[in-house]
Amino acid sequence: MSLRPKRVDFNASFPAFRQELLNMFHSTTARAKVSGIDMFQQVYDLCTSYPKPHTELLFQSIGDLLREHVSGVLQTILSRDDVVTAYAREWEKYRVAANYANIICEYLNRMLLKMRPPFGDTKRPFSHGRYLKLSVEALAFHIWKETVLAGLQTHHGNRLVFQLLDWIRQDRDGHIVLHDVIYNAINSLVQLNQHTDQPLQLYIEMFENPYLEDTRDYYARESNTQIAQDRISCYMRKIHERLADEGARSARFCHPTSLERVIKECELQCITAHHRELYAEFRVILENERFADCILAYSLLSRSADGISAMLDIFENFIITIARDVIGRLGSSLTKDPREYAESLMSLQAKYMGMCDEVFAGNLAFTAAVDKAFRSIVNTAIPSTSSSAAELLARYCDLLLKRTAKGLVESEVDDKLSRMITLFKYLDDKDVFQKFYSRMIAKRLIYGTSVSEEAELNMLSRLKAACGVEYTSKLQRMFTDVTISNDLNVGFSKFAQLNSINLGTEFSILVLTAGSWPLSASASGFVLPSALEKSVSQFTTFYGKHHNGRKLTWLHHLARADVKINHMDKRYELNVSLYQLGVLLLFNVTPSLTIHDIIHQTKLNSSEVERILKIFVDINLLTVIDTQTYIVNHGFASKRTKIKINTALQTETPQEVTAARKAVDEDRKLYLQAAIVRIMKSRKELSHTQLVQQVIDQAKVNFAPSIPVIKRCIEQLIEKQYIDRVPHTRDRYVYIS
Amino acid sequence: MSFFTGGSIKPAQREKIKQFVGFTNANDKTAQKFLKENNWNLEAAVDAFFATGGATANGRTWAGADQRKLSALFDKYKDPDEDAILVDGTESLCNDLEVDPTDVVTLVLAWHLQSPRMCDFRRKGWMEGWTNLGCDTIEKMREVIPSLREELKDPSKFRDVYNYTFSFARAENQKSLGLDTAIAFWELLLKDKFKHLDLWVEFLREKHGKAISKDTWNLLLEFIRTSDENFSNHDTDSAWPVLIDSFVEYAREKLGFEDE
Repeated sequence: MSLRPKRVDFNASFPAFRQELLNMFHSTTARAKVSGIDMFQQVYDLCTSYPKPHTELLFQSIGDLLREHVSGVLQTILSRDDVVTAYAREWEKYRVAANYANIICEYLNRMLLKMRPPFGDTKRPFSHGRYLKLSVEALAFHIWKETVLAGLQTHHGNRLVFQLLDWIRQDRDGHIVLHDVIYNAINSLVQLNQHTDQPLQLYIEMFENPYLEDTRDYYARESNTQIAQDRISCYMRKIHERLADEGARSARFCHPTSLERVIKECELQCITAHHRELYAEFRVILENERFADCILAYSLLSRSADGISAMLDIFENFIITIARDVIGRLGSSLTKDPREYAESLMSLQAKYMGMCDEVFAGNLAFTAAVDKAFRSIVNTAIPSTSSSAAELLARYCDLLLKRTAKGLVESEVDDKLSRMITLFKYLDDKDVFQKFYSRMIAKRLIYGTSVSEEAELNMLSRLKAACGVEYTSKLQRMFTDVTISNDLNVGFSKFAQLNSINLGTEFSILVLTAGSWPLSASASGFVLPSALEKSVSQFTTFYGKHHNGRKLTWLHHLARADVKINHMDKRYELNVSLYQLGVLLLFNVTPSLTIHDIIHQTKLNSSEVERILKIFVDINLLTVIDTQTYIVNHGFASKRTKIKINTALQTETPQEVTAARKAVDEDRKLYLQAAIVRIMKSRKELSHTQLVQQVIDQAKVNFAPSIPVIKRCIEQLIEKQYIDRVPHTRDRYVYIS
Repeated sequence: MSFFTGGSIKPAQREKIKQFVGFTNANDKTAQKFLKENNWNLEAAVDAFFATGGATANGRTWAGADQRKLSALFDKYKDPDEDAILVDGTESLCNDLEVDPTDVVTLVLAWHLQSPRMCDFRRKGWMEGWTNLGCDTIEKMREVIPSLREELKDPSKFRDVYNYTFSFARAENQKSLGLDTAIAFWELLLKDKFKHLDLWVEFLREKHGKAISKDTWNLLLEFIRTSDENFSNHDTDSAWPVLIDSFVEYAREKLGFEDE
């Protein structure tokens, strides 16, 4: 090959080159018949010829040649019925040839870099983008677009695209079509524009847009017929498959960028357009617990961003309805035995939480919906009872933690309590729970009826973890009191031994911190039986020595005693309350007593005495001889030797419950007022909205205060002149120091 | 009060100095001087103060009102046992002013004269009030009444008088205002300002039946001024007293407005 420039006559040397080039474009096996190296030399010579190189002329001539060739190709394509196959075949030939021509004309291309392209002006129709740089391949592709594509589109009814769409429709309907041919034909549109600055524009305009439109029509038609024919669950399954198919189809035929748009079009037609039917079905699915369908519905509806929110509402309302039904079926029995209430709610909660994981792919929005549903369930008043969920749950804990005949294994208790905490966390009125819980724990501790100390402490630490130290501080204090009291009792019996004091009875005592226990001293001036006087006074001395200045208040109404009866057929042992003991011991001194005697000697009130006497008469320990006089029944007999005599004190009375509820309201008022003063003291001046918001935030751990209650507290504080309104405004407050 | 740390002044005397200053607006030094000269007799000292033109002596000019005449007028109506115009005095004062004691204008007058409660005018308020109004004779006072009535038309003055009325109407040592009294004064003050006054009164008697707090009293005027006829703009979550919220609920139901 010679690199030296020569003088070349264009008209003389071009025809040979032209013929070679034509051979390339006509033949499918171009390499066999042309001599690449000769052509390369010819191009070089023409472009370096002197005095004037023939660069431009060569380029134009190649263009003329290709135009002539391509119009022949167009006629070939049009002569066939199957335009797509013909087009794809011709294009493949042309593309390969253009590629070779481009390699051969490499030197020409390099010369052309300096020139502005004479075509590809964006203003002209059918240009599809500006050419970045000139080359023979770009020229060849441009000519193909101008001639073949424009010809097919404008003069022959867009037959290519029509047939392509038709074939794809057939593919969807399950007929066999030529996948490669379709792909090549479509892909030509991408290849043709590769030399321009908008490589996908031709593809989008010529194919993608009509394709999307076609897809829309196809699926609008199909989904409408399907949904009318089939059950929704079948429809969902079909749609699910359809979407998967369509994804694969798009990958097979289209440019990757189309996938998203195509799928979206399908979703719009198959899902969004029918969302009402789908949501209705979702409800039915939930009711019938068809989890497989549920997964399907979720995977379909979650495809669109707002598809989920309606599902969430349905899910939430469904849970609420289910739970209400369960509660409704329990009727008024749940006050007495809240076990079923708590346990069925617990299992519902676990069930739907599990469903979030398994069906809704652990979607946090669904977990939140379960939470929301249960928050609404436990914070709405229960129609069949005046007890709130907080009360019932506290009572449920009491049932679990109290030693009973048919006791549970400790691990079961623990397990149930830890599940109870999940419900507890939903409560707004945690203070109500606390109030009732502390009353019940007090009784368990005083009467020693706890399942185990460990179980109690476990529960306390759970509550502490959920609500903070402050929430359980009083409960904790109660425990400490019991522990300290055990030590005290040991200390006291040693003290008695050391000082050789004979107390005459066994004696055990609980010293409880005032204020930490929900207890108050009884109003009655009960006279302690003389047998116990010594113990009490000695203990007072003992305690006074150790804790100077502390005052002991005796809560006799809570005390219990074991007493042995010696003069009957068996030695019976009675477990009685201290008041009952007081009455019984009187009969040691006097064999027969009237009610008035008893009232007089014990200083108990008459209704209390009557109640005690009635219990003893009922178990035949005492007999009435005339209406007012009682004697001991010496013929008393019982199968058991240990008899426990119940008192009303150990079970909750309705009065206690009302008192506890009232106490909660009072506590809240104080809590809110304290919170308001605290906030105002630190902020000095605040708007109404800010103040209310901050109060709600502070109270949140314990309860959810209503705005009217907060407002009433604000008014009371204005009245008490802790705060005032800022003069001439009505919604700002200022702290009065 | 560092002036008195010398210790020669007894607490009783200090109290008198305070009262003197209250009546005359003189400074402590002047008060002490006049009181000493008059043997710590408060009334004599005050009279002497005005007689000698003490008012000007302490540097303040009291244009428009002769303090001596005013003081004398006060003495004319004042109760024989106390240094205040009480029920009888008020009655004859109203007679002389030709004003009906139940006229709303008496509230404006009481406000100007800083009367602490009904039928109770004190010397200090009397002197200051009339001086500010520029009156020192009954005739001048009578002439000024119509302009007092005009003051009620000024919204900010009306609010002052309205808010003042609460403490004025309240019984001694009471924090809140008895319901009947409150209603009587509302009817006096708000007759032509509050469209739903009758409903409000009906509501109070039916549902509330208790005394009215200062806060509710004050805020009612704001409520009347800001709420529209069918309470559509009322927000129960905002800072209104709960009583007013309950009234809105009551009224909406009674008047058949939709709760929005």
